[in-house]
Amino acid sequence: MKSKNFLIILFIFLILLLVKQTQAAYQFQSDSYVIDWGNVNITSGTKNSTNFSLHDTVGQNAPGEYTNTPYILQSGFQYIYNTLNKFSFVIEDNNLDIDLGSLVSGVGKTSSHYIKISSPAGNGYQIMAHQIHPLQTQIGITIPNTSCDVGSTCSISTSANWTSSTSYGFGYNALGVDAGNIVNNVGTSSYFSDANQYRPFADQSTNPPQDNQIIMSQDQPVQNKRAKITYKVNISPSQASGEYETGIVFTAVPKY
Amino acid sequence: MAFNTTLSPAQAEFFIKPGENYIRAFNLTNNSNTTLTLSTAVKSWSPKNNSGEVSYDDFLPDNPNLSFTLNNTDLKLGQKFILPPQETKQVVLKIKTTSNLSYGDYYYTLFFEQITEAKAKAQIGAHLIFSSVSDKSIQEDFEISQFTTSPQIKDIFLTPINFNIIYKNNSPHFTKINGQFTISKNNQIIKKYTILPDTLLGNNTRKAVCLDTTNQQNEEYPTIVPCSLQTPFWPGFYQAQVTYSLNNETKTQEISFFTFPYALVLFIIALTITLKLLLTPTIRKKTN
Repeated sequence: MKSKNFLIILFIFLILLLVKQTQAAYQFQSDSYVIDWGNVNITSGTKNSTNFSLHDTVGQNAPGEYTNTPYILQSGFQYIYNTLNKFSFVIEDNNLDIDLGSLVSGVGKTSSHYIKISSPAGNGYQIMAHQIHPLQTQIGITIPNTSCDVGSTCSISTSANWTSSTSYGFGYNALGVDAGNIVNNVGTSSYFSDANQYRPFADQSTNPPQDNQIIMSQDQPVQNKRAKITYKVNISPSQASGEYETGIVFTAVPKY
Repeated sequence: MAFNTTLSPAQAEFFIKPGENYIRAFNLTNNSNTTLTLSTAVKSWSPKNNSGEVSYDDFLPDNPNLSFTLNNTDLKLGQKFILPPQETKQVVLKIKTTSNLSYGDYYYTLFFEQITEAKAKAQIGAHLIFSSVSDKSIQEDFEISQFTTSPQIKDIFLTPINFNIIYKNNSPHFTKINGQFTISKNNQIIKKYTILPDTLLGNNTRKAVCLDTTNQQNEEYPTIVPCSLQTPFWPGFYQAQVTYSLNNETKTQEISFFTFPYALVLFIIALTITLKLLLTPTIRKKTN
């Protein structure tokens, strides 16, 4: 009698175990294929009201956030809507052909555009820039890179004043700005202190190529941080006439 | 043609056994209203300093025990592809290793480079930080190698006291730093920070940055503040303590410092001497 009761209890236990297992997984079958699904989500998405925003997943097995230092597991589609691990970079100009116009010796010409960055939670960012080659004509005549004003020499890694009409060359400035384009120098103050500070681009055509230089960076996660990039050229009286051009490459990566 | 893209994830961190392969999907979204032409590349980097900056060296030799390919059926690494406006392209990166891969960390960036005739162009990258290990349940081995304050003379009115906390990884494998930073006086906690769980690379150092847990407006974009004690504060002895977890053991490191109103005291002494000199009657010797 005892062994009969034991068998009945064992049978019920096995049935319950089977029912539990079939709740945790799904199987779709055809004559040729079997697809096992961990779970079938009924719906997921974002729901908004005036004061609240809800990201949800219905049908997810074991949804939620699980942590075990240093790891975080986010189970469920609701987590794809956050910007936790997204990295965005924008050059805000519909025409990336920067035109410095006709140049007159001793008269510095400038042209500007804006860049914008958002970095993910946990990371800052760094934006680097380099030129493919100096400003040059098709037959290879170049406008040299600037070394800034006499007595305040700049290089690819240090900025200096460049206001003199007799200091010639090609260079750039980067200044952090807010949404209204007011200069706040956020992210760029370590590289350029004001709008008169310039430096030449790192040149990839030298042998060996010069290292890409950081022009803007922050240690913390940011949202829509912007900077104004200003290109400046001033030619000497002996500069040959012609069309000069180069390519500038901006590289955005997160800080690790 | 504007460049406006979002890349996700921005960083992938994982451990791998030599001889294993690893596959990771990255999504690149074109947020602009123009079609972008792009290509992919993988470049190695090295840490530039202890605050998370990286530098790229084009002359590093390829590692014969590592190779990168794309698992996409329609795209190879380095091949051009078109990304229409407001669309997302999923790129599946496969990292193949041989059994001869040395134990330790490896750092790479998957780049998406804009291909254009325009004179300004952009590239955006996501980091790959991985470590070759014999056993994936590795033991962490890091410490706080520097815990100092500045300035040397701590005045209660003049300058904030800044704390320099440097974590050092004695293991060849990356990990995450963790910890709580507290400043106490007379056994009362007067300031408490959470240390941002930054990545600490193998055999490398990382400067800790603090999160002000009492003033968090936005979980995704937390306010990072200097690990500091702002003026004014009471004079006396203070204790600063970092508590962190290492292999489920709690470790602490503590320093003490003294603050005093030096400037105020010097000002009072100078004022007293000046007043005394001005108010003391001058004795003149009479001569007939």
